[in-house]
Amino acid sequence: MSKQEILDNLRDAIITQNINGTVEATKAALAAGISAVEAIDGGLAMGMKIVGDKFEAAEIYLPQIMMSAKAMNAAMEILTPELAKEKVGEGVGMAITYVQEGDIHDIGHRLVSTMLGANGFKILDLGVDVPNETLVEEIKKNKGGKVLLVGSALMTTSMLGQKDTVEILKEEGLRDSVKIMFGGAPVSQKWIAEIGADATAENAADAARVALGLMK
Amino acid sequence: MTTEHMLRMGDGKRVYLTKEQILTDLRDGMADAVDLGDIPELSGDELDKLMDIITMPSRMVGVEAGMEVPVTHDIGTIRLDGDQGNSGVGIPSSRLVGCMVHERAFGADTMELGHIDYSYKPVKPVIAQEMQTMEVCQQNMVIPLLYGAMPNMGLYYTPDGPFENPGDLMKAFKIQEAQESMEHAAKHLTRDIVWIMQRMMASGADGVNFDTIGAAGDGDMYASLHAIEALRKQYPDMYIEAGMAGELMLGLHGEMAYDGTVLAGLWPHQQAPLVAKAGANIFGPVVNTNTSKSFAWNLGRAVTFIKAAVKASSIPCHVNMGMGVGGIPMLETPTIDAVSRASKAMVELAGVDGI
Repeated sequence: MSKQEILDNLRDAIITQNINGTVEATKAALAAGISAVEAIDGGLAMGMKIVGDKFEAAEIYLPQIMMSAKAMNAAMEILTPELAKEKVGEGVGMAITYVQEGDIHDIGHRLVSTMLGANGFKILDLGVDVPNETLVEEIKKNKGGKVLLVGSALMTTSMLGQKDTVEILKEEGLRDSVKIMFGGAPVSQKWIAEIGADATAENAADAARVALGLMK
Repeated sequence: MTTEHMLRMGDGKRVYLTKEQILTDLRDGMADAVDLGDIPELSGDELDKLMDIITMPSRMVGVEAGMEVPVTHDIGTIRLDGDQGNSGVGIPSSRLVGCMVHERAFGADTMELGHIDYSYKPVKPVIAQEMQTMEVCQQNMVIPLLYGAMPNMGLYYTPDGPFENPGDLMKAFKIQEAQESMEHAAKHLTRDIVWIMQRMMASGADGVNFDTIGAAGDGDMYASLHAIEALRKQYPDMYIEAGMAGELMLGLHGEMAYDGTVLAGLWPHQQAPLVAKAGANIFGPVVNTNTSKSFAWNLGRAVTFIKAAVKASSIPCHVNMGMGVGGIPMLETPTIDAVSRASKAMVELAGVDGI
């Protein structure tokens, strides 16, 4: 089997939500001498992108994207020790994910956490209705590392809190210690620019792509 | 200097745009609907007409004479005695007074009696009170009075109900269990709606309003369609209004089907035939407002979607017009300039049968 065929198998196992198949294809890729990074970039991540596009086009739905994420997680369990051996520094980084204070809508937040985890981030999930003080505390603890703050807000009212988050991080001298991504229904690129955050994304799959780009 | 016209953003903020900017937004909104729903574009004449409606200098506008349509009122009397937290204006009044004010002062063509909790499940323990209120209202009113509430299948999951929360199950990757939980909840929701409406019909109700079908995803729609079907069988002459929660049926289950059609991912023009097939008299299509876009963008998009739904529907369409739907900005008390313009556009361009 050629290298491309092996990578295609990885990609297709993700697209078809084949968890056991993903595990087998991952082991086969490593056995064939394909590096963990290549397996992710050339196979698994491509599968997740296709899944994300299908989700966006309403061709597949929440349960299917979750199953693909589960398949991705299964592959990452095998690849994570290999990534460490391949010396990619401290890995992709840590993602602190949360839902803004005053908001308990967490479907998007959960999906994004899953997708980021599946794409190699170490996830610190703070849950819903998270006050800014908690965020400051966690960022202080992890200062000096590669940290991505990923906040979600479904409502316009809670979205306004994202501005306060950026402000408080500036006041605490922590703004340069983290990359900041915000998402949720009312969040737009214009809003991100206005409050001085780094990025937003259209959906969970896109969030993983944007996050990886931010951490490069 | 170029003339600028006052209109709103989707969050209600005033903006001033030139005709060129308005036309660009109208086209972009329309294109978004065409792309998502795979439906026809509006014609050049229709876009011109939308432009005319948006740029009319009056504070509010109305439909042309002879194009008047019935207006139906959901949320019951909560609009009066509720507070700003639930779309009311805080006038202390009984539900009887509220219904009669809607009939005799507001010009409502049909009216809905609803409970303060406004979901079917919480009505069960207070069914006797609801029956009594319905009877007294019917004795004092002429216009059709429906009983209405939200199917709101979310109330059947933990911590509010007996079934495990699919959100928690999915997070643990227990996808099959999540789907089974939705299926169980849907059965109970159907049963509860039918049980409640049997009692309300015995108290003189003229029919039922399903308000925000699909708010909890495709299982919510599945349960509602089956409830409509059961009620139609039992009450052939009953008036059944089926209003949707959103433009796209969210696929939280992803595989639930009605009459061979998978519910997840359906747009208004695809929802309409299923609602008719189940036995509803009226379909209430919804298009959601994007708060980051202008009124022109939202209206172009909403009219394109609703026009396609009206065309596809074999039963009358009463479009949902209110805060955050039908092109109207997302405000508790939506501005009359936007409400009246969006309503006029829906009647004269999308061809809706009522609002």
